Amino acid sequence: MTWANRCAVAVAGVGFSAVERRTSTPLGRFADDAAAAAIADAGLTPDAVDGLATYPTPPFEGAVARSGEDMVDVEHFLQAPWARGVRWYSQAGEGMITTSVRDAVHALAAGACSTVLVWRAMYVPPGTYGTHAGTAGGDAAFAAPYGCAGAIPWHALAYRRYLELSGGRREALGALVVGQRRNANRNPHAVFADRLMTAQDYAGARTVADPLCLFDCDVPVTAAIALVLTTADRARDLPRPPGYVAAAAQQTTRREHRLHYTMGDHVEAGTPLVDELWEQSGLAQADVGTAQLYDGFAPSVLYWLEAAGFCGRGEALDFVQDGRVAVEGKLPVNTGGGSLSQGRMHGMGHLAEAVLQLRGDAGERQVVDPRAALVLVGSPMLRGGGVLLTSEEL
Amino acid sequence: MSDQQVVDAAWARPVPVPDDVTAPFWAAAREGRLVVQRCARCGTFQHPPRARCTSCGGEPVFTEVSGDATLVSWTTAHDPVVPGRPRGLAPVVIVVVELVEQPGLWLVSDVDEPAELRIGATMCVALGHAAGDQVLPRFHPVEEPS
Repeated sequence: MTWANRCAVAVAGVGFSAVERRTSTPLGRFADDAAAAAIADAGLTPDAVDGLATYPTPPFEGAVARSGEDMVDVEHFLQAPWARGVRWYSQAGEGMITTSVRDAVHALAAGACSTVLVWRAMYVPPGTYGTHAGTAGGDAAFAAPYGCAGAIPWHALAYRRYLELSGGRREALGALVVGQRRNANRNPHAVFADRLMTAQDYAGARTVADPLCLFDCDVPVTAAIALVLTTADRARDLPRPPGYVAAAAQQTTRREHRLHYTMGDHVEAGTPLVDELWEQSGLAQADVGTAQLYDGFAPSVLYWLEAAGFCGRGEALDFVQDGRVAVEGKLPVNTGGGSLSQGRMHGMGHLAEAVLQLRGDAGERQVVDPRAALVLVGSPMLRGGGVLLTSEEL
Repeated sequence: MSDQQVVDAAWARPVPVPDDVTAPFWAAAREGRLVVQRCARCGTFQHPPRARCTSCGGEPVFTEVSGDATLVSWTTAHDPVVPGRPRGLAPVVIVVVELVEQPGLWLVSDVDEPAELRIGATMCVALGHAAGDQVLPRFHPVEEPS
């Protein structure tokens, strides 16, 4: 059954801050810049915003999480001088930024507010990761003493099994990763806009946890991106072409194991989420003009391609060859460079890129008339989510 | 604790901190036994330990298992981000094993030698590796008769 809120809400504005690696500028300033840009892009003034939504969680353990400094939560914008008119907010503790988009759709469709600012701000802390105390409690006690802590070995263990069972070679993933860098080289908002990568660079990259190499890991950045969401009725009167939210779903399948990821966690858990997007929207794989697929680690793109049914199980490494996922290809993927090359925005970069593509505002990396953009966020079991955006009301 | 206790020279592994749910696992390991939760009602094993059986909601009971397993996956991790671990040490070969008692009953370990590993290889537990005041069950490859 199609979604009651299908195309009831649209993205009316997109805004980017500068993108940095490490900086002493408070993260709140980046969020303010992104919010101001998104509101101006929508042709509005800040006092029009009466709803706020984010998923603020810092992406590293040991974060201090100070509002407006290394994390930008709802509180940061409630303290803004222009925010006196806010009457609805949502701050997700689980899920990712797609959860905030879905919450905003529900609030707007229910009439709880009229214009929602959705943002995600990301921060690179000083020092190195994981420099806290030498004990491990809870589930970590069964993994960290063996060197298995954090997302890298979780992904490496799943990817090893994927390559062994599918017969793939790690070098083949370079077709995707190098292609995404080429896309970033055509994206002024990408942290690696000016840095090139060749197939040789990829093949020779430092091993992090085999089969994962350095370039399979996303690049941490300090930056913010914001969207303005409003009802479709209002969006049609605003200057930018609306990006309609045709479907929005959340990953709720329980994790298969809790010490690392399994292939079941990735692929089988992603499928019900994507199926819900098809059902809500009435669209199918063939209708998708571009897919923005979460790539905190490059193999996640393979898993999403399989979970979404763009190819069969174990076939995604072949699918990404021969330019099939390039801007000019059959299914353009991560056209802005993705987390690997645009920067780690935990899915917000993917959402913003989808909107720019639907509006025809993607410059040199523009896909021809994409019509529908699929955004799948999270390594599926990290409480991911999905959004399907369209350039026309369905 | 076992007489053949091994202590790492270069790396102070994070020390497991038992809690109300996990304490029996670590107590058994100190006695040289590998125990895993098994539901008193439906018989399903689960790991890591939980307050209730995630299959049927029944009461999990720690049950000794054989320690025989097969290899599910592995990775050689360079400078893994582990609490308290300095950078620049030798890589860690992390493995996931499946206990013979039940499909999907998986444990994490590391192995000493990055020997030729393959999915399905026979593995076996050893309980003699200290981490602080705890003992870590660790799995190693077993020579298969040719």
